Amino acid sequence: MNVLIVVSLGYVLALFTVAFMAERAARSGRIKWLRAPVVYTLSLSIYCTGWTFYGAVGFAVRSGLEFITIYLGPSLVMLGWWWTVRKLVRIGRTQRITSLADLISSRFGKSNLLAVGLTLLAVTGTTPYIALQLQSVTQSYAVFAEASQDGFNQTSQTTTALWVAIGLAMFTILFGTRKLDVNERHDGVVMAIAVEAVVKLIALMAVGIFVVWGLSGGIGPMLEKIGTSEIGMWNVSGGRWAGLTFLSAAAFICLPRMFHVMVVENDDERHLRMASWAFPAYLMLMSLFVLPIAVTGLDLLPTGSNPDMFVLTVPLSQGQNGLAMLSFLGGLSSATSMVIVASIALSTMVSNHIVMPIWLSFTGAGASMSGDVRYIVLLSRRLSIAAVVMLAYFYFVLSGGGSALAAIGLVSFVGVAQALPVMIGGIFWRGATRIGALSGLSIGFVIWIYALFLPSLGVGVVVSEAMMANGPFGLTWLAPHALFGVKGMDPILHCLLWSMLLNSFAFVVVSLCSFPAPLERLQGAQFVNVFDHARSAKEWSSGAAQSEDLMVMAQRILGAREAQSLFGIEAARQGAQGLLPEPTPEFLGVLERELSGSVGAATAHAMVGQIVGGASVSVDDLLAVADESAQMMEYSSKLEAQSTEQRRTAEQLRQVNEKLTQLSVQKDGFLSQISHELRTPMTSIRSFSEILRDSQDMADIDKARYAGIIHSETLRLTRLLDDLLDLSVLEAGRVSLNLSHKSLEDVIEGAISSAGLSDENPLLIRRTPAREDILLHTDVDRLAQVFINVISNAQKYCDADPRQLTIKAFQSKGLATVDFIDNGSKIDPDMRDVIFEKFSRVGETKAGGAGLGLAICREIMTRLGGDIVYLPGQDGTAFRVQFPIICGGQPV
Amino acid sequence: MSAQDQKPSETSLQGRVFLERRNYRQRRLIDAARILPVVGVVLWFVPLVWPSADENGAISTSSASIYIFTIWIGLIVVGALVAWRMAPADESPNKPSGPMDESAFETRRRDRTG
Repeated sequence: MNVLIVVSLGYVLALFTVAFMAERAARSGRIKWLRAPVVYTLSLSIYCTGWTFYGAVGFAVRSGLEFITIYLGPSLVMLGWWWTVRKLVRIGRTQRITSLADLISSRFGKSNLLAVGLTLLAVTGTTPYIALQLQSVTQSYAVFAEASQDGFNQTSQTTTALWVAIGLAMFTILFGTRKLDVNERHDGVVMAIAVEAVVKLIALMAVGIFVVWGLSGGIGPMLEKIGTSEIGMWNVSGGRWAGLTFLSAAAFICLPRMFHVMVVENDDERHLRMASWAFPAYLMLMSLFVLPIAVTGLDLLPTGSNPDMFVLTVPLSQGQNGLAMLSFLGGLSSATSMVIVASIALSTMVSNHIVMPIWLSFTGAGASMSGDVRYIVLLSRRLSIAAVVMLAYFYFVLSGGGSALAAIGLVSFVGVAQALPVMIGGIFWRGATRIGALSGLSIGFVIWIYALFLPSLGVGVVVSEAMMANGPFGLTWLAPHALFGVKGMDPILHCLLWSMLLNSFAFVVVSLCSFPAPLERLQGAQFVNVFDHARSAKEWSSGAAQSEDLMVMAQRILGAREAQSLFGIEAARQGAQGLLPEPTPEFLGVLERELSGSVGAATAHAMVGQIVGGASVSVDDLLAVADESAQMMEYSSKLEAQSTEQRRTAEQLRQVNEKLTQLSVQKDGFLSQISHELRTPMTSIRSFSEILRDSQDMADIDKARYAGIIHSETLRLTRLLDDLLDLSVLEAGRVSLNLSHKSLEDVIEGAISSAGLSDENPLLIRRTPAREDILLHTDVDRLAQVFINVISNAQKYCDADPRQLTIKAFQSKGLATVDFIDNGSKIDPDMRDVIFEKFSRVGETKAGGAGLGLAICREIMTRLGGDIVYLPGQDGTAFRVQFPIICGGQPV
Repeated sequence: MSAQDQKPSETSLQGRVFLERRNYRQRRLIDAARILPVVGVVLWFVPLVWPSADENGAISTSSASIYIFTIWIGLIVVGALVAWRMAPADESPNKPSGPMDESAFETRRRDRTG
């Protein structure tokens, strides 16, 4: 017994030395051999815990070959490294993932709620498992104690467990929390567990070789012996075979300790290549001799002896104390390495996702933090390690270390496997959302607790016997081992089936129905497409961030030298002088990733957020960016609209300009015309008045003739001036209307007669007088003036032979319409726009008009509430005069 | 995952219809690495259809272990071969090949003629 204690103390001391040497070698840079692929492969062997070391044989005694499923699952996962493990490792390295909870929280928008949930799940699932390791160590002590006839009672068992727990916690704290940055790797710990991996493999194989060749005489006789034993025939239920293989595969990547060594401690992705085949080989060797040991134990030892301890008791019964000692060390190695890594992994989660967020929210803004955050983080990790190990110890004491505890291995597997759907969904499916992940995990967790974990504590402890049989409140369909009425299933399979089904279902359906936040979508793309672009999400907007504050914070977490070198490198990259880089989004992204290696993604994000301005700043920024781009789009569409409008305006301006140019030409033409018009009569008047003045002997008849010419020329001038005056009066709106009643027929009749149609060049007027029988109440004289103008225009300009003018009248809706259509040539379309303008004339003037007629007409019609327009699409030139029958009676 | 993995190497081979022999070999090795666990699952789930102990033609535990361990060893050997052959590509995909390398010769020849 004393020898045993000395040996185990010596072994532990050797481990300390190995870890210490490894740390020293790492610090002095001789790390090549420390980080060889074989070390990585061996470190994965913490999958094989004390429970597997001792328990596999017990498992084989109870269920035959079924025990091997626990090794088949992980072998498949590693052989299929190209699918999943490679991606996990790549994500872990690029995103600086510190734990399983960190991975999932980071993937789903750095959600701390998810991280807390997963931490709770991991602690609940792992603590009993650590207790199981304590149990296996104390049980193996007990075996030796019995063999040496010492008194080793229950009290000394718990004392042993306590000392083991304290020792393990010390070792873990010493080598697991030396440095903060988890990505810097725990070289000492990894080296120690690699050594332990070798020890446990050698121990188990030594016992196996002893059993096969020492006791049974070779492979052939051994196989015969197996065939004749009570587990000689294949008797494994298909459900358990497939279910447990799946379960062990799921647990292999979801167990916190496995994730830690596989992803977090991974130093080089290439190590996976070796581990992909070497680790299955390790597992194969570990399970190779389980069956022979089990069969030999059944053969040699008295019935009723504990099959879980056959690995120890078989050599002891043959007097092979040295071999038994080796085997004991193997078991101790298995147990201790598991406890060390599990407590490191758990403490990282607890510290990063529970302690640090609480501490941060209590102490407030990051820049005004007092004290060294590094110290706080390390302290919280150390306390977490101690807490986890002590929790396991109390669990062990309270559960009494019985068979209930032995069953916890698979129960724990089912618990941690609840993270599988979310993890796989998170790295392969961009549509997975935070809400979906929360729903799936919650449902899986609840079902596991209710249907497996609580009942596993023993019937009557939490779940009463009645409840087990009839369900809560008599709801039989809710009975823990017969959910939804599915009875008679193996409890593990039952819970695995329901929890995984409903977990995945909730995760997928809620993800499909919900919409992820911007940060979630960013992270999702980063994770799923990790092989496409290996940079991290850059979602910080700088602005308020102060480089100096960031420096202060970074120094507290990373350490002064590391932080300064990081800032210096970044500053150099930005081309800035000195140590302080600009807080660009790129720099903030790099800094956050560095920090997350120490305190986890969610906490790092929150800490940078506090300095940059608000913990949710990145989401807001993303939204702002989204808004910005929306605004840009809006602006550009506005611009587009504006340019369309400008184009339209330019078009209008061009039209107006054309019109103005035309008008200007017309005006020039008119001015020369009007000066000609004025000068012609003035010339006549002047010359004839000179003749009258200078000629004394003139015949009276000549005098009268000359005076007549002067008079008529004066009248012509007067008429021209009258027109101009008339127009200016009309345009100024100072005209007063003399409203009176008269029929349209009479007005047209009067207009025709006033137009002075000459006989030598007759204009045939065609009318339908019956249509013109409309009694008007308007300024009939002005209206007649318009008609006269239009008719005389036809008289003057119609170039047909024989000439005719059709006058069509009709009324509708209180409007009278009169169309004047001649059979001459049409007005040029170019001119139609300008004929109503002042001074405009069509073509070269033949009839000496001043070009004011139609302008006056339009002004008159406007005054009468109507209009005169050119009527296109007729045989000749046509005008339409339209006006209200009762002027001012109703609006037009 | 599969499509994304190959994207970088595909874009670096712009305009080429066929891969160099070396890259082709690497792709097939990755295929092998992918298919290996599937083969493992199929073979290891064969026991699901074995008759149990109380039925006719029940299988003895020793033959069952031989079956399972043989598959195991086979998978490990194939996995090791794949991992070992895969090594150069994974370390530096663009590393120039040695003078005796057939694929390098192929590349040079193509460069000269093209």
